Amino acid sequence: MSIKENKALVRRVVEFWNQRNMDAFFYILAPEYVEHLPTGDVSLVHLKKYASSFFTAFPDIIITINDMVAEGDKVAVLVNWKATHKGEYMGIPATGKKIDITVSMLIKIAGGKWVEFWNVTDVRLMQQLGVIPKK
Amino acid sequence: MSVKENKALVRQMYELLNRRELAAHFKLLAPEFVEHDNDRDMSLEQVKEYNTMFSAAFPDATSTIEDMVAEGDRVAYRVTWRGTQKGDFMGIPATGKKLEITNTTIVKLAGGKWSECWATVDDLRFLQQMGVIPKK
Repeated sequence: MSIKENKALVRRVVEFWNQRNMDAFFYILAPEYVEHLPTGDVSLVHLKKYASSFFTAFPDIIITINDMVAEGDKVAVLVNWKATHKGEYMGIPATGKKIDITVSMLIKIAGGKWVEFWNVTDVRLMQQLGVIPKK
Repeated sequence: MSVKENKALVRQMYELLNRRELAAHFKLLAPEFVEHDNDRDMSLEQVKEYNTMFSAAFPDATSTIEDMVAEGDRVAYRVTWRGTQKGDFMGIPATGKKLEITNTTIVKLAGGKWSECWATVDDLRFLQQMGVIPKK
């Protein structure tokens, strides 16, 4: 796949997220798909369970792509999340707070599927949820 | 500059940082350099001040580039930073704590210098490891 196709695939997945079309999103993930999060690795089976609770926590979330850099089989993406915290998230009960943060993602693509994913989430998520103090 | 040269410039920057060659490291930043962090923008002068303070607080810090993706005038990379807090850091006296976090940056390069970068720093893990906020 070309870097143009890989970027298009990332754009399509972000659209699926914004449409809450989880089946279409999961279809893009390879069986061996792994998310490398700062808290540990997440398998596809685990992600399928976790994904719906994420969208319950932030039901109005809009994800916008700010930048993409692609080379070979990888795409680096900077996105913005705008959402309201309306359900439990990582043990934090709904606060009704608005969040507006940056998330960076790196995605490895093979054969039209996402195979690996790394991310770093902006600390402002926890600040805006009121879990930790602002600097 | 080619994508290959741009990647070499990212590697060079971290080699200088790991060797504490701060003056040479700062020379790779363009005068108009801006670092867009999670919650603020830093000018060249602010970056110099911050990195000098940071280097004194974590004198053994090393950064390891885990991955690089380059296209056009930009390089995105993941970098793991490890250091021990041996000096005063933002009002916190030396704790001797060992920290390890992985961050992601996109840097824009022009004329052999870094002109702009966007950093997503895992400050949450940083603050937890510093003991400033509880670990979950």
